[in-house]
Amino acid sequence: MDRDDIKLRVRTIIQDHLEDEEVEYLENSLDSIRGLGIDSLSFVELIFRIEEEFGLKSDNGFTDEQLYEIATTDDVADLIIAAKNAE
Amino acid sequence: MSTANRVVITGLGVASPVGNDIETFWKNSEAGVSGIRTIERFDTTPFGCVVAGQVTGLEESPYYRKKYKNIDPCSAMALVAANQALSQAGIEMENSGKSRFGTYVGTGIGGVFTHEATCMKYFERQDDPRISPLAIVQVMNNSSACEIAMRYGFSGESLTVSTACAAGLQAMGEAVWAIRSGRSDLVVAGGTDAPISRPLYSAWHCMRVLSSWDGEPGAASRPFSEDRSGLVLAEGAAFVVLESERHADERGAEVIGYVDGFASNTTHAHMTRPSMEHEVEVMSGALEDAGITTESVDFIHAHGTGTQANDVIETNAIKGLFGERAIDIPVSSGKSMIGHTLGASGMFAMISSLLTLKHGVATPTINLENPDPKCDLNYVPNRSQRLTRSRYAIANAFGFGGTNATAVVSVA
Repeated sequence: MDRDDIKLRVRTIIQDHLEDEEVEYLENSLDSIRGLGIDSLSFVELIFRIEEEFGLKSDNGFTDEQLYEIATTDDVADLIIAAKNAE
Repeated sequence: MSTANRVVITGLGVASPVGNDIETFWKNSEAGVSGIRTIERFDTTPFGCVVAGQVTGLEESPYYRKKYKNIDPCSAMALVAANQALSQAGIEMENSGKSRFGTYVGTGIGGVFTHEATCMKYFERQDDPRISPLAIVQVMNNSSACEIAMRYGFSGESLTVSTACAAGLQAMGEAVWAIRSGRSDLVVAGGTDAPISRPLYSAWHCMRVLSSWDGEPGAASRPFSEDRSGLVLAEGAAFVVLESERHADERGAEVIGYVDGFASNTTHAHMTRPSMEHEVEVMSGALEDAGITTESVDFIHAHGTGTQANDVIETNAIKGLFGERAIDIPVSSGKSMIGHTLGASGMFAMISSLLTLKHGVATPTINLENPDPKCDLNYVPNRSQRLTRSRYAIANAFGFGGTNATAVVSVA
């Protein structure tokens, strides 16, 4: 999978997840997932939507340990590429 | 009750089949506009009933936020209505704790829409039976109260009442007690329900109470009519901001009206059959709580569901309590226009009652060309009527499970 395409799709999910004014405010830092200022419940919902978007299921979705490591859309792209390569 | 703890109303808000703001809601209610439309969300062929009171254009409301699409429609409508009411009352969204501000919500079935959608998704995807991590907090009945309290930083009492069609009005009544007792200074209170779903329609259909109307949708809901067609379900939310008179005075809030009295009781004999005796008792209790007699009531917003069981018994209850004066009091059912919003319905009745007193105009019961001979009061048939006096109004809500609630309101 193309990394830039993955990041673009993740950014679209993030934009949809946030209020418009939040998107505007965070325009240059949307790739910093940990910097979005969302709470833990909102974070797991965001991750769930990303997993759904890329067809990740219970057996190849992100582990709890991987969630702790996610800080940016690049980190998400790494995990998705690894999961897809493992299929 | 000390004057300081008299309960005043400082904000109103609705998300309804006839408008998502108070001005539109009132304009359409006064004009007898129906919000009942053909259901297009799912195939209604198996259910006989093809109509419902449906909220449209919620996303265009200035009180709607993008994030609301990720929560149950029951909570989304509650937020839009509560945001309006709190905005009118001059309460800002902020996260600082307001320890004496409460959130009281009534809902008959809560996040049932999410529950059903989640179950369907779960069983359709046996290979990956995962569902949204937000499902639990969307389904729980206190989700709407929590969503409101979080956004406004209300850290006082939060209470969710689930007493079917009496839920919203009963939640409001509990808020009245909280303010009178001095436990709370301000409460946002209301009702919300979103019951337009396929499985629920099936259950209501099998109960044999849904409207069988197959003509023009707006004519389907026919309370007190001999050719009534049954219950028309609807979705919606209606909220008010209540506070102690002293608190409103201190912060310079504009007072719209008062909740003068409230009472609640239980028809213990049957799960769904109403009781004239208990309806008389609950209306009488609310008047007593308000410290007034039947002589001071100038408008009654009936529960008025358009079912045989309700219409006749409620009529007889009003006659039983008000005696000869019953025929002189306009009695209206807003359900003829918006349908039955279940847990929100009592709050729609209360807000309509308040607006009726404010404008001096009784909203009509539409589709009442052929009154049921057993229903012989002035139901304000088809066209609004000017009130001769605007002292007190009462709003009724009678729920499955036997809970009855009545509120007495007046305007400032």
